[in-house]
Amino acid sequence: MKTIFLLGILLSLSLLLPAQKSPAETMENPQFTLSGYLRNTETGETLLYASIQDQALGTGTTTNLYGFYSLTLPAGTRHISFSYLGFETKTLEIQLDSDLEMNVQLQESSATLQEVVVASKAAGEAVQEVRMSRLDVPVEDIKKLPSLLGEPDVIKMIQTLPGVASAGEGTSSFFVRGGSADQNLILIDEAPVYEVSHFFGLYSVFNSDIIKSAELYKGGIPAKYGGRLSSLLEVTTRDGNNQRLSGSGGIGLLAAKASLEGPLFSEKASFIASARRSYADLFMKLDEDLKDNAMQFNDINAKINWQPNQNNRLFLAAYSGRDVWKFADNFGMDWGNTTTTLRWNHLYNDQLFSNLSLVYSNFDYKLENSDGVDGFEWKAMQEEFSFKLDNSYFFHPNISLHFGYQGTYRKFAPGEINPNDPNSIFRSTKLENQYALEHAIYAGLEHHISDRLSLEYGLRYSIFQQMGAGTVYQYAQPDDRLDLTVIDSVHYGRMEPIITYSNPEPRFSARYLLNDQSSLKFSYNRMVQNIHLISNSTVPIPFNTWAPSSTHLRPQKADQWAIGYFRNFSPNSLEFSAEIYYKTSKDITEFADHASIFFNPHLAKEFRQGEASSYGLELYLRKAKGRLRGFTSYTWSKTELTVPDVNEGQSFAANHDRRHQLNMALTYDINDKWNVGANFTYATGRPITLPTGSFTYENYQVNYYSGRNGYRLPDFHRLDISATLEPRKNAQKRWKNSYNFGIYNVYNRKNPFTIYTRKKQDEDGNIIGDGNEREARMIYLFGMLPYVSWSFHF
Amino acid sequence: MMKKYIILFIIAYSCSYCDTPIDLDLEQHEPKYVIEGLVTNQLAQHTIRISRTVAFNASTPAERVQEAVVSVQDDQGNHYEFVEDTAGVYRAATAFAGQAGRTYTLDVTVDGQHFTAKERLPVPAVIDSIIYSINPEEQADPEEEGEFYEVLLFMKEPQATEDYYIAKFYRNSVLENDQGESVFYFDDQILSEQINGLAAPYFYAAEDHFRFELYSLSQKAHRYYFELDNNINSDGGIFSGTPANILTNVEGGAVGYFQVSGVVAAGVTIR
Repeated sequence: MKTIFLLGILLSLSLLLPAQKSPAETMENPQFTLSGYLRNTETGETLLYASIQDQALGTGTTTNLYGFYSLTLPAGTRHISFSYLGFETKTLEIQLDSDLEMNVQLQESSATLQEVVVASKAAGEAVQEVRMSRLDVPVEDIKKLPSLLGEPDVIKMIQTLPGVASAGEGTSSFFVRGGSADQNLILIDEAPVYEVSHFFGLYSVFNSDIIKSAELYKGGIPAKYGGRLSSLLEVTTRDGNNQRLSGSGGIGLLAAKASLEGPLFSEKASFIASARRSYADLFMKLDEDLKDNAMQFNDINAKINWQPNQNNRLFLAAYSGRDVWKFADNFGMDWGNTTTTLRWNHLYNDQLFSNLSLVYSNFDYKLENSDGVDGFEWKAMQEEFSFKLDNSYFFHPNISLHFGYQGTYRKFAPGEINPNDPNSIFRSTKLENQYALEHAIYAGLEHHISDRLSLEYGLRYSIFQQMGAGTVYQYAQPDDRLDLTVIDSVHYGRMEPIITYSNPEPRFSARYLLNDQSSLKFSYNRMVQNIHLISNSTVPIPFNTWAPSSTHLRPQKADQWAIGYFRNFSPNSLEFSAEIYYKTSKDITEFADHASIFFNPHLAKEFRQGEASSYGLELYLRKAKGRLRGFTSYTWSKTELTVPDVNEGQSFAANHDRRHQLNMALTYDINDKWNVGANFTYATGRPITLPTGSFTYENYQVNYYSGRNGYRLPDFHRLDISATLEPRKNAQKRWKNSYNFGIYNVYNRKNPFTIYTRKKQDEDGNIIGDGNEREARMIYLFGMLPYVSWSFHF
Repeated sequence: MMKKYIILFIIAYSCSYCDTPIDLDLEQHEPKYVIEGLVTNQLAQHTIRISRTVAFNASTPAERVQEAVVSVQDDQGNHYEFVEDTAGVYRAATAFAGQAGRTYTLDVTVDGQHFTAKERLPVPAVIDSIIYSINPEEQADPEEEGEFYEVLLFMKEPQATEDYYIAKFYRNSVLENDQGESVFYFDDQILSEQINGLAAPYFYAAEDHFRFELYSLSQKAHRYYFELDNNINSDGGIFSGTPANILTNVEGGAVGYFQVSGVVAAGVTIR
């Protein structure tokens, strides 16, 4: 209750403080507020996290997620610079003698102009901003960097950032600062995406053509966000060009895509629509042996943006994507996500900005066998509706308040099986649906204490309720999964609360400027997670569902501390950062060995909750501007888990624990025609459990293990290169082509994907001898793979 | 089942996937006793096998354990002595038939160590009939020359009870399970009462003798086979769970299982 009290103080503070503005105005030197939107001149897209700075005072701010800024400054003639990565910086002389609304448009910088920009660039945002452990993914450069089969992928790029690990190539899950894959909140236009993989992880659901920005928060997460322990990935799609009709598209080795955007009726409204589809299945139809098989994925994104006047802005965004697999033996499966976001930004005045969002998200999968006697259809899904009201109140030159409410209703339908043939041996069976309500209220302050010291602090209070209808079983032996004896069961009616978990989540960040070029930062945050992925594999497969916190499943909690040193090397516009973090998590969900997680009505008995601790050092060097752009990152980290009934209760290395990781991604504009790029990645092999012995039972050879994750796969490393050609005649044409060539895994490294064991076999697959001998086999996925892709825009 | 599909698919797609042998530098293995026992409701000299685990890299077959003292006792006070028949294989001195509902306890003493396991005999299933017919698709393109007869099983699954099973398929008295890769265990959670025309997993040639045995299992024994299947078919923990040791019902520090089952069998010769 103490925390509700604290939150109350924070909120009442926000009501009291506006009155303090008037004394400021009566002072000798009155202050006024400059506010507005920053946009791209050519497309009308708002610019997010762009920086606005008073040149004389050095104070400044950044635009928010909606491209809006508000800056209060002393009256008089002010020189304000507006800058954004990849755009020409604009400096305006402003006579500030009243509150002023100022919408500024910035011009995209062409390659030849960039060097000028570099020279005039002030200290970078990374040093100035209070937040740490936040990375923006260089979305534009992804298209020029090498990719797998010529399909640029934002998740693959994220896997190379400092503090982020992957389970291996060909996978789309990522692990942030030792957290597991389900501890990342992945949002597309504010809507959560539950399953980000296409083709079991070969690609992610994010079509790079439609992404405007992608921000990854690894720590120091503001009070506005919550719901997952480890990270927040916020993907924002483009608004659509409101100046003219334009389009883009392309074909890689795997998929083809096209998008169209333009103004709708007037420049007050715009639309964008994009579609992507893999096409390998079209070739399979030509092959006699493969023609009955199908495997494809597709994505559709659409967004309508409408700004009726300066104070109101609405958009409606939708995403839908699916994987469809069919096999000649009548087996089929498909899975996909659907999300919808309706958002309304409203400006009450130059100081109060509010954002209201209605969000829907759905994930479902289906497995089907249409083979008469064995025929069945297996379906599972989950969905959620959210209401979010977020407000920013720039009430004092040095303090801005962010506060709001977020409510979410979730439905989990973990599975139902139905016979799809009258002769089927199966009967209709359904696992009980689960429901949950989650509320969160939050308030956070951005507080400039002095020229050097800035703080951002706040509190989020989350209230989670598992709701009826539902039946709660009390087991005689909760941890013995073979003893299903139920000693009591209680039935709850529809929308009747079953159990409530309330948790305060304090957040704190501080930045101390050492000088213009460097700063020290500190952050602490507590995160709480109330939904739990039902998966016991390293890489979650698309047939996993989630479960809410419940009588048998406590909320997961994490505390993270981080300190960082940020430094700019201005003449070269190099940004450097070093961060050290320590994270400890309680009640993280794992599964007991050999958990039976598919269609198990007693799933509660398979969950185990334990502790995780993780710490590491992350170094990051980035060059964001100029002809040579890119980054190098190095991460040293260690993650250990201790979970009852797993590894006999002894602590063990997490599946994604990698001691060293080094990544480099660079692109270089040779001239206005050619660009070259390269990726290099190195990582310690991931931990793996290997058998030390085996025994014979009937004619089965059973592995005997001495401990979990006691071994490691060989180290992973790989170099990719690419070249992008933009023909010079593009300049005169409206239709512009570009070509991307590349080689994945240039030196053909055989990077291990996994190691499995089997009875020893000869080359033809015949078992050697009496079948008592075992052998270990290593699977590696991609050798050297050249690719070419073509893209266009007009 | 699913994880095999998944691995297959990802591999099928990534054209350049490769699978090569790798030498593992493994820690010293501490051998353990392995007990493999089976008592059924059939009148027979039931068998208990005792062996030891071997190091993973060992090329020698599992070491059989001799000179153990083995006996089985039921909850009615009946005591059955087992005697060593061939090395490591212990047979009941006299034939006996287990009875549904009774609990059987295995006692093994070897080299000063004592192991015990307890299991209740579940009610056997009922097989209605089996028929065979030509599968036209298989006949058009048989995987093995001449093997295109499909055997169909007809059974009733009692809906009132929770039942667990393992099936064994024999061709001319030889057990078929893909050389120790497939385990045909199942439960009745999603099964309807009428199992009519369920196809056996293999195709047969004319003159083959087909035999099918269905063992009823305890819930724990079913879990044992589930874990055994996970263990032998693990992909190393990418899409499947992290590999791990499998459960045992043997107390005293050994591995393996003492299975007690009701068994029904049916056979047919393809003509």
